[in-house]
Amino acid sequence: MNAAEKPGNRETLLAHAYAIENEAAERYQDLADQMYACNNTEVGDLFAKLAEIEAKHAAELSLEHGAARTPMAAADYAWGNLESPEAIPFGEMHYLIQPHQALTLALAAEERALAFYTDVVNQAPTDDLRNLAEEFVLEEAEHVALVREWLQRYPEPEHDWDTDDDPPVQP
Amino acid sequence: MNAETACALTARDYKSDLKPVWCPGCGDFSILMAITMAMADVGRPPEEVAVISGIGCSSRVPAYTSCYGFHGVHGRALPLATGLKLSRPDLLVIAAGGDGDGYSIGGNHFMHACRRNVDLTYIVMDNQVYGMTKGQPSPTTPPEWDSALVPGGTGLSPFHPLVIALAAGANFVARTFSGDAKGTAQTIVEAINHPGFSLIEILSPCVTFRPEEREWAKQVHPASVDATEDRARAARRVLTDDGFNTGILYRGNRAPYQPAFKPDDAAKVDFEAEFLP
Repeated sequence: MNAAEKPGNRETLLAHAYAIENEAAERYQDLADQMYACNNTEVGDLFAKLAEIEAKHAAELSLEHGAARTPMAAADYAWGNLESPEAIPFGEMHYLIQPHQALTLALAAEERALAFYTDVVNQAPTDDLRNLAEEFVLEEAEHVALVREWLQRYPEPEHDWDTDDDPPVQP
Repeated sequence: MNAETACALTARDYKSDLKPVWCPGCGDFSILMAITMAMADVGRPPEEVAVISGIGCSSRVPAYTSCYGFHGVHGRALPLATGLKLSRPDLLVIAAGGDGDGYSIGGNHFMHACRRNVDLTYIVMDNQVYGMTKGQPSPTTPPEWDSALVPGGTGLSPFHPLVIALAAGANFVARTFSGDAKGTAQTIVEAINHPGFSLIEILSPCVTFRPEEREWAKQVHPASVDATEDRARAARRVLTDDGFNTGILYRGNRAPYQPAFKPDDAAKVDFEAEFLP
């Protein structure tokens, strides 16, 4: 399959979904660990919760649809050499990141996954594939709504959010 | 790699239980991911791989893999890796570290490792600063970089590792960007599979001491030409480029150095016995 091509059958879609959810779970957990290492426990807890949700989603994929890791080469996934849609890039992090910023990054990740599955629905050559992709669209839409709801609970950061009273860089 | 091997090993199999203590946003997180992805792709089990490093933020990488590892003395990753590969040619040996460790403290070893062309892969996570010791300029720091520790900048011409590697005899030279983890993983695989000494220079932003390096994500671009086998042409290209073109820049065809003698198994057994209780 070419990098820009969307999954064209049930097996390939399941392989993609399995990769998306597992990579998201792993990335959220990595980010949670980074935050805990910096004593930013509030954001660490948020990422850990998101990791738990994604891991549960991945487990459901296996249980309900028999999705499993496949020997597909990395470049054969629809996102090619880019990160899978639901993974927040490591480079976006900051040790003083606030919950609102973390959730904004998570929202963007969830929306990328939603857009991916929506594209599959729109390009699906068979009803079977379309139905499965629609199911994933609904699940991702729930995730998007959940993160949006969480976002409402946290204020936007102050302009000096990254001020550190004990900065690593000496003035 | 066949499908059976691909199913057997994943990147996760090469990660240790230790959690990295790098600053959030550091490029080294992505590079660690790329290294583990590459190992899974190559398909050698962790016990057949050794990751060797010196000192520095990026030199912590052996601890974060499940392979054999050696966190050595500052600047000495390459002599350690060279010795290991010569005595245990069956192992896949990867040396890793930063620009300070590799090009300054280990600069002489770097040149001679290129010259010797032993079959190993050297991954340099170049952030153009000494991060672990709080932001001193390194050999690759631009001369004008102004900071509290170097007011007005060093004014010194930066070290040009890729040109030096080519001049010294490295057999494979590439540059990648940490933000492109999958591309970096592919390049590492190619470096491992290419015989001889392979250098992969990975631009890896230090978001704490060089926050402006976050902009590298917008500056990197794939090299517009394919890798060459012509050392002089490759050197001209890297001397005249903007420092942000990525990809495999040179593939040489020098035969790797292998000692004429075979390591004496009996001597190895005696040596190992010294370490056994």
